[in-house]
Amino acid sequence: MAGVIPTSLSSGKEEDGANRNRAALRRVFYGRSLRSLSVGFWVMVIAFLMIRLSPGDPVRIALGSEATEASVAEMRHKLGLDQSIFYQFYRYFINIFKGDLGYSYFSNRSVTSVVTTHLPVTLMIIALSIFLGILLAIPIALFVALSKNQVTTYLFRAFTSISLALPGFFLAVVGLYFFGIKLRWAPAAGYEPGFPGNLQFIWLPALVNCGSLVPVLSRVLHSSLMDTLDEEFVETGVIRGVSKIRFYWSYLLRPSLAPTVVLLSYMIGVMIGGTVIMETIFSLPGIGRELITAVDSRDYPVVQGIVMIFGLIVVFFSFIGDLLGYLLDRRVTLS
Amino acid sequence: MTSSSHKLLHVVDLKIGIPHPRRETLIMVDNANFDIGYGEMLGMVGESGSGKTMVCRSMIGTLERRGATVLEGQVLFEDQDLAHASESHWKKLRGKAIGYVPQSALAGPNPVLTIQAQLAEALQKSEAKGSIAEQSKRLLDLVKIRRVDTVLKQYPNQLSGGMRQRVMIACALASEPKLLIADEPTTGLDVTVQSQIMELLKDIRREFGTAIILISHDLALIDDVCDRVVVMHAGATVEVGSVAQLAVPRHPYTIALNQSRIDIAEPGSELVTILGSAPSVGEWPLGCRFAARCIFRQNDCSLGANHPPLFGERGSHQSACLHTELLKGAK
Amino acid sequence: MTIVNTKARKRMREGSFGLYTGFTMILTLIVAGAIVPWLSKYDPNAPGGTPIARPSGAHWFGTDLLGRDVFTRVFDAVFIDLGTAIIGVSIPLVVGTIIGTLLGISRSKRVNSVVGSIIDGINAFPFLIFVIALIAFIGPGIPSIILALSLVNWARYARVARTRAVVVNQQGYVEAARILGFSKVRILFKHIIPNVSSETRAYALSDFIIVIIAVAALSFLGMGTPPPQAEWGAMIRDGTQILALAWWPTIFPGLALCWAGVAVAFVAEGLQRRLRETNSK
Repeated sequence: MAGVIPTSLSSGKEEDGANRNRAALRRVFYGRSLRSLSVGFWVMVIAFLMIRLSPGDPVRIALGSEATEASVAEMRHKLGLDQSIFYQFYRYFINIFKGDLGYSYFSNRSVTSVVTTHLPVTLMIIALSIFLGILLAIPIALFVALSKNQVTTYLFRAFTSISLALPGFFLAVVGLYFFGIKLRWAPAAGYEPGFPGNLQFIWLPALVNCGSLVPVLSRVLHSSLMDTLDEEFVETGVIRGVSKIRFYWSYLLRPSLAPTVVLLSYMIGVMIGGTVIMETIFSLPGIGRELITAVDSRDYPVVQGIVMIFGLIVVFFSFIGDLLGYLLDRRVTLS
Repeated sequence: MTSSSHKLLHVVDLKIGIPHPRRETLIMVDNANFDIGYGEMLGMVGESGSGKTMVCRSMIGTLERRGATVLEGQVLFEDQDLAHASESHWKKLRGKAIGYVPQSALAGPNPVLTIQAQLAEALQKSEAKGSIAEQSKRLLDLVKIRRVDTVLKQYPNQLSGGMRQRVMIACALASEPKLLIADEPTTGLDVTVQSQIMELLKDIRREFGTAIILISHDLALIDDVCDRVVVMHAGATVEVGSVAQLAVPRHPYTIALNQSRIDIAEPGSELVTILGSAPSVGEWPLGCRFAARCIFRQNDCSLGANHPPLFGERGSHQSACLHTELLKGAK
Repeated sequence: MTIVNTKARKRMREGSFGLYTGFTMILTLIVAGAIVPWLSKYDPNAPGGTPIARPSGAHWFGTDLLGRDVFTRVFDAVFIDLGTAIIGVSIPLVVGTIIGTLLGISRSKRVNSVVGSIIDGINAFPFLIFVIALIAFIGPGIPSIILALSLVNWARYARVARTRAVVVNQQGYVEAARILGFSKVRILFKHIIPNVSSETRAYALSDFIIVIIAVAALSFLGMGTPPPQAEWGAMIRDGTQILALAWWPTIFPGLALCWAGVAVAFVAEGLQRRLRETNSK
């Protein structure tokens, strides 16, 4: 099989293909970054406006009806609320980049320290939920997609739509009753920092959180798998006689994974919401419980700071998800 | 089959269907009969649904994926029966003696693997000397892709349709197959690219003596590049012969196909389209399946439970028409 | 012909089965919500009777810590829970559809980019977190929940509506109406909004499940109705405190909530399937 065209023709442009790949990736990267930065900016604006635009005077509500005019004025001054709204935003914006998210109304804690102390616990629960979710969703979706039995698909649809309609907080309470009170497999409350010691406290909340993740992930993955199975290149894989593992990974899962990964990153927001409730139910010292405490005591700077951080986390993960989706499958066109 | 064992592949009375647990088996192909010799280029024509693709799948072992199975007959490839080969047997056969170029160039290559990775897969079973990288480059040279090093690192979506199809051909050639099946390899490609791909197939056959089955609905294309032609209609072979023999068709369906050709129509004359449409799978009539569309139809055409067999000696000009005598002079 | 007919009918039946089941489930709940508190000899909110009594002939679902009949309370809560969810979906549906449609047909680049950014910004926040935060600022209670849900959710509807409105605005019938000289307002309400809202209404159906659960979850977190009003989330919250002693004050309101969620899920799935079928025809 002699070469028809001498390879020397292209030897000068050895790195060209890789370069072109990198250029396309760079374009996607910058485009997505720009968008995420703009959304991130608006997240900060909205979090800022939350206090300013809320009906009623937040300071008066926070201090209670017995507060004197003088103490209200003092609090206003302390919060900088007596200055122009643009100056206030300027200060707020600059402070965020200095790592200063303001101070709690009632304790001397800085919001930054509240976040750095409690966020890791929350992220740990979310990470474990996602890990369990993927672990369950992939085999389920593969099994249903490859099963030729119509009944399997029907049952799958029914189960996923029912489990999506079940309230997570109620399932958590039921789980607490069975595993915490009846079987004593999980501690009903308490926490111990550090991996893997914390797993015994967070496995149940993470599992309940999966209840909203697995149906969504497995459904999307199932439908992309069905699309992939109809594609011609799957046949190519069969004909080439690639190994079973390689076939499942390179010819079925990888081409189907992109929508699921993108969706997973969008599900971070739902996961955060679920985790906040789980922390309350299982008395876990995460940032969600801090949020609920702050809401109950009307500690506005803490609420504002936590909400903004959560917003930025979602923006960040959507960005990562979009990029990963693109890397997994170059066919994905990003809108 | 000793009489014609000098041929590379024999398809004998092939019947393919999709079994259903409760309903009747859906027959997709019935009465497919043809041979292909070493280094021969065989064209296969027919409308969609005529079973062309199913016949090909029986040669590459992908019927099962679609729930179909060979019910009767044989596919003999160098004296091995592919029609009833087990999955473990196929594991040894696949990616070796028979290469396959899929229908749609745009969807053929795996979108998540680089060209290099795909060639490496195809080269797994290759016994040729040289590293995978060297062999990959040689293959891309072979299909006349320039800037080989660039292309190797690219993903399919970065290549044009013509380039993708060249890559698919390169993959199919990786194991130096004796038979290459090209299922409408130029669907969706520009006319100029189409002819380039055809030239490439011709070159490959000339250089390596690879036998090629070219599936197409374009008779002009087949006339151009093939030695022999198989005409399929509603799952059955209705006519087989050399390109020259088929210029004087012995089956009304071939006549109709010839008449609907644009390239040889006389300027100003009206184009003849084939009457009606091919009967769908599962709704085949008794007797000759072309009878309802045939202008030469006789009373006995729809009699008898089965489609008429191919008349004439195997290897010669054969037709499945009961009344070839009526066709004299028709083109 | 016959084959096609039976096939179509079979598909219809499959879709309708879920639809009818869902409707029946919702109807049962509503009828029980209307009848049970009226017929019951117990006051849903007044304390009295034996506290934490097991389910029995007298108290089918047992009694809670304050000796109130759980059965009466579960059904007394139907209208609060479903009503809040219905209003909490309807307001953002209407507001979001109108804003999104106007945005979709607006030619002003500046308006589109500013309002579009605000929409993206709002949607970036985790839904439940944002609602909780807003309730912190406007105070707890059902009206606050509805207000917070509306302030957050309109942006999701607006995004759906905008995408759809851009497409609808370029359709032939809209162009035709314009050429015929109909007023802009008439075209908007006669041609564009109905076509956009078919999409947002489909979205509202699946959103309804999320909102029912969210309303109960907010009450569970203590941001909903003040006591003693019966409400599923609040009942589960109260029950959780005595979970080690009694399961019934927690489980029964929870099951009612599940019942409502699954019913709406069935209806949503059935209606969406029907919508897809009529669209594909």
